[in-house]
Amino acid sequence: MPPTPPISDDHLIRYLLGALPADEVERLDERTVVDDELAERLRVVEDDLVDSYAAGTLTGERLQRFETFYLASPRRRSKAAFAKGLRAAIDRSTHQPRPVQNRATQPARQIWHASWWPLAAAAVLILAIGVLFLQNFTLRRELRETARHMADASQRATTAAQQLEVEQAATAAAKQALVDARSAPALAVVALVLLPQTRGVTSVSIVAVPPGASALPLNLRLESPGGTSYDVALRDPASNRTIWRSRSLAPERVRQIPMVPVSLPTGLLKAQHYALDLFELRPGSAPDFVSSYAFEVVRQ
Amino acid sequence: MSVVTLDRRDSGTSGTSFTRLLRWLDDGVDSKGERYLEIRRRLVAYFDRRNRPAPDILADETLDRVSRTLEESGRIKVTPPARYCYVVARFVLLEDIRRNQREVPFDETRPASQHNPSANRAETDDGAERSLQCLTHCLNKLKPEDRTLIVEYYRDAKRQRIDRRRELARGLGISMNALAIRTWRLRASLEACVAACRNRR
Repeated sequence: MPPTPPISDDHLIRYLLGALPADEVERLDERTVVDDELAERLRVVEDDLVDSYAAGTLTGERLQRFETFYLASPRRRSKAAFAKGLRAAIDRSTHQPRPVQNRATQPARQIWHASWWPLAAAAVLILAIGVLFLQNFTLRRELRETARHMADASQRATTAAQQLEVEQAATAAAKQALVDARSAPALAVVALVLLPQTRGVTSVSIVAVPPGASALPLNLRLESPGGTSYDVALRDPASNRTIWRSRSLAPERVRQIPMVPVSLPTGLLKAQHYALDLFELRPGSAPDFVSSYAFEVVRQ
Repeated sequence: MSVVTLDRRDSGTSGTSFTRLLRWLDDGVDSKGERYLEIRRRLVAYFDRRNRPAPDILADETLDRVSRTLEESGRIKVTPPARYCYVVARFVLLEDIRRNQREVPFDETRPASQHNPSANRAETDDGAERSLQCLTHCLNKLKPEDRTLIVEYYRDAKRQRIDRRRELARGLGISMNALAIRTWRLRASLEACVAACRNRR
């Protein structure tokens, strides 16, 4: 497998803010689930991004995208709220006095007699309690300040919601376009080529089944040829139930590309998504799962 | 060593299937369930980035399907296991999008931030107060060295912050990247502690 190119923090931030093209989003979706190193880096970058928002240092388009896209999810809003609280707590702890490092008390401690120790311990305890009270008071004040900031952010999010309504209208137009496309004249159903599903949420093949057709011929493209015999299971992804299984199939080369041809009985197909699971058959061992192929059936 | 609790209340997966799933995800290295939790976290984040309303449920559905396939087929050839989980997750995502298009009016999927801002303000004050108490409680539960690390790592801004992190990494004898991952884990445990604490109150 060729080495994957490095991804910059800036690119990951654009991914988190929904500012990348769809195909790049899907590529990164896959990598952030599969690639351990990238998954960890993404979390670090995300925390830094959320901290920047909490600190008020995000500006311009990034701030706008953060509020319109990132904060659209309750889970991510909760992360942002946590970052604000953490920031307040850390600010507080870095500004409070540190009793154990108080140099002024150290020379005196050297001349204390052993019998004075309980008294000294009590003094340190009182000092610590005092610090805790002070810390509690400061923290509450900062939290109220944080709450005010969050309410301001909420106001900005309301403005963003209005922008969403505009986008909603665009979505409705896109849906209509999809309906129009589906009602367009039927595609040829002869030996449609399906690709293995590794990414591409938007790239599911749509297969139009004309009335009267008894079989739907498909060619399943092989990513790595090598097997001599395969079989195919037609699965309903909603129930994950296998509803049909092919006999043993031999791979073929179509224009030098290795494919497994399969013919599905159209009587089983309803207008919905399906998955075809391809298995390699080897004598004396269980079938090996090779890949899944997604497609959507449209009845005419 | 930390004890990992695996909660499968809503799963249709039997104990044996679940054990098989854990073993398969571990891919030869016994992680004591950590790998399962890690893959689940990634799937939840994936569905959440796709703005699905119930990312946790979709992540569990994905792992249940993987488990059933494993049970039926005996083995899955795709490696690493996370890649197959992603393939299944994509199907789950597609179906969820399709189901929502059919059943949920678009207006209902809008973020909650569109609610009445003044009501939000009252809720926020109350919630922030609870979060404060929980954060203090959870910070106090950290080991002193961890508490110091998280405070030092996240204080300051911009240039100062970068310099401070470099010093911290040098002091601990680890790379900046390793330091970032270590503090992320601390932060994640703190976040989980705060969430659990808020639910209790």
